[in-house]
Amino acid sequence: MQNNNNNRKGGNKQQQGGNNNQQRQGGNKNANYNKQQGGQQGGNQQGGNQQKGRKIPTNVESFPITLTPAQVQQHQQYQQSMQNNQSGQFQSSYLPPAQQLFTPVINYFVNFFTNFKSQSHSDILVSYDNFFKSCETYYSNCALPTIDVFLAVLGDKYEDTFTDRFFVLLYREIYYRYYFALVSQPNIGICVESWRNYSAIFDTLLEAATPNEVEIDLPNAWLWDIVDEFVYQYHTFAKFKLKKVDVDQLTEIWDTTSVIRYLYLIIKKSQIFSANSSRFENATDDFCSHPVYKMLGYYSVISLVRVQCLLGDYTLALKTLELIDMGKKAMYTYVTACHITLYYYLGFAYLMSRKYNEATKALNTILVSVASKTKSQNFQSDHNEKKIDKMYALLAICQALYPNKIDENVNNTLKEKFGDKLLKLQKGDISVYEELYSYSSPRCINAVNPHLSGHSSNALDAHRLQMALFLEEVKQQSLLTTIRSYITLYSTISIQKLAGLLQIDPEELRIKLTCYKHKNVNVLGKGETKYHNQVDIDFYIDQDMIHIDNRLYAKETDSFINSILKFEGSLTPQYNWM
Amino acid sequence: MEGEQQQQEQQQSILDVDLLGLNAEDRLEYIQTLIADSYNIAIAKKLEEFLDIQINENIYLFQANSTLLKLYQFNPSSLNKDAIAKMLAKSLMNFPCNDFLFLSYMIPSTIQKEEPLLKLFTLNNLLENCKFKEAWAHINNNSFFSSIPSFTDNIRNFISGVLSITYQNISLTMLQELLNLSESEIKEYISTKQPTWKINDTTVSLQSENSKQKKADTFTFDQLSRILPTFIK
Repeated sequence: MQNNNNNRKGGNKQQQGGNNNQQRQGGNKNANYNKQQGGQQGGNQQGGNQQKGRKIPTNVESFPITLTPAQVQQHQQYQQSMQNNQSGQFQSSYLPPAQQLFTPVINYFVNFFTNFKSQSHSDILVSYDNFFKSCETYYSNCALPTIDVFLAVLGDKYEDTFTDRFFVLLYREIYYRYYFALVSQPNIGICVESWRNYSAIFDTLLEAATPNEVEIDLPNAWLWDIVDEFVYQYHTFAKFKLKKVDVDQLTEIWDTTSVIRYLYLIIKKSQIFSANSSRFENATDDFCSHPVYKMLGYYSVISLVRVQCLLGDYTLALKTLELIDMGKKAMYTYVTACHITLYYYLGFAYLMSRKYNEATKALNTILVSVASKTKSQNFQSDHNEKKIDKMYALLAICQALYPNKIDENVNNTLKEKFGDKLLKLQKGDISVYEELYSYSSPRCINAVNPHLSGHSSNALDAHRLQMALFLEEVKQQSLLTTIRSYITLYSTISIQKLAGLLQIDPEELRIKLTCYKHKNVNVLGKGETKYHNQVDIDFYIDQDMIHIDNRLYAKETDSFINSILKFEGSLTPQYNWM
Repeated sequence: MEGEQQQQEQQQSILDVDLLGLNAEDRLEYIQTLIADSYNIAIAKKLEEFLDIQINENIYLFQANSTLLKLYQFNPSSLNKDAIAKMLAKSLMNFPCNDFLFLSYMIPSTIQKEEPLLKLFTLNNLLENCKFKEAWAHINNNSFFSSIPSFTDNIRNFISGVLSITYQNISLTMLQELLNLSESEIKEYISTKQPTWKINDTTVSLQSENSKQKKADTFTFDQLSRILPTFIK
């Protein structure tokens, strides 16, 4: 229970950043949410302070932080721009530095550091969470104190071992993650620094010759947060409108190839996919037995899938996913945010591949699984909640394009959330498809920033392309749903008559009917090559007559007959031997 | 440093392989190792070469082509529109697989609307909507399509595939029109589809007897006789 809550905490942090458009509101909502949280769990730790909400408690001892000259200069610029311009354009890319250090934060930090060195999963997770919580209380409008400030506090406790040095890198990662969470598009300086820090973290891990050198252990939730944030920051950066001045500074910073290369190298280093046989031979460089490498490699696969989806390469994304064991107790279930992310991209990739029935299956699976989790844990983080809503929207699209049986509870929630929309979708209302698609799809990106490639000057181009292609597909299907609803009513009907009912030309109807068949063939399951039609209604044309095969009724007839026989059998056992 | 140089040399020797000199099996293996290194722009030239081989020898490897397209995506300055046109044509030949769709997600929308790619997107649209007559007119109007060996044959096979899952019987003239064949050609074409396709005078049966779908909302006398005792009681 405790662990799960902590997970959510980490996920929640990113949510603020993920929510670009509603940055301001998002911030407030989260603060309220933290207040409730504090009330539930941290009440005894912080006493009455929590009741004051976001206000920094006054009865807490604090020390001023001496800012570096660069920080002072930047802060003055910020204050000037705030005075000149009330709307605060500068503000959206900049966070003022922390100016005070509070005793509780110091305590949490020292505790965090000590636990980190103890390498105990549960202790680290608790202090990871507590540290975040205290930061949200004390630094709700500014950046976190830099690591140098904390190092001064630690003094002799910092021993400059591998573990200690790595902690410094990880703290910096948290610092930038916090920055990205509060500011939707941080200034280029922060992006560059954050990238360098990720490089340092990954390079350290990749350069290790044996797993024994790497004397660290991190809880799964934290590892997931690191990889997930890495891709999130890449995604944020790719959506940037770069200025000419900025471009000159960049070489490999947040470049798609570099991002993918890191993910690849981590997967390779982790050896999670290498054959078992080689493991026994060199036990000294078996990185897969090191939990940090193993889980980092695993989460990198999932993040790689995400990057591939963002770039529009759905075949490769689905192929990458085949590497992962999708069993019920698979490793992705350890961290809820990871579980949800994986299935969201899986469902989306299937949708874009026209495999609507596979998409429905995937979405149904995850939605059943999160529904059961909600019951046991009173709340869900906003971040996960939002993804879940998006998945319901994707499911609505799938159900409209290719009706399929889904879990009853999921179906009820679907109708609650998108019932009216679903009806419009089924009627073929393109504008509703567009609305739901733009709500639920990830923002696809160009592999190379358009300002660098010179091919198109619009950063939204990739995303618009995906949507245009998807809507094109929907348009092709639009009359098909109407035809489906008509032919359900008949067992045979002539082309002439149906064309009359639909008020279209008989020739055109023939084309549409052929198209209906073609589209259904397109919707294939995994690896199936045979023509296979799973929709409840099917038909064939015999010259000018349409013969309809309604499997829905067929099933009912069968089940009636079977039930009669079954009950008859159970009521009168003597029939059996008579 | 030395290792790096060695690696570079090794890479260079890989790129020096003469594709045409290899037999089909070795070539495929070579291409597979090549695309494993899928973010190295140096392999693009080889993949373009292999694309021409795919066209001339009527073979097909989707992964090789999608890797090439990805390299263009990552290195826009190397983008080669003619190569994209060729791989799109190959993907149309592989209908009803969604290869064309997958590729189009990765092609910048601006160049999709210009030649040489526009004609391929137009044809894709016609085929996706099963407007086969218009599709044939479009194919016959563009010499690009006839320059690709077996292109029309593959498209015809796709169309007859769709028709045979849609129609039980179809009139000969209609079939002829949809497949763009003359009266003498159609007879020969149907004979290649034996025994599933059969001519009966003016109509053609496209589905074999045993695959005929039965009407489903009826039930057999056998089933009925089993539940009759219940009603009699």
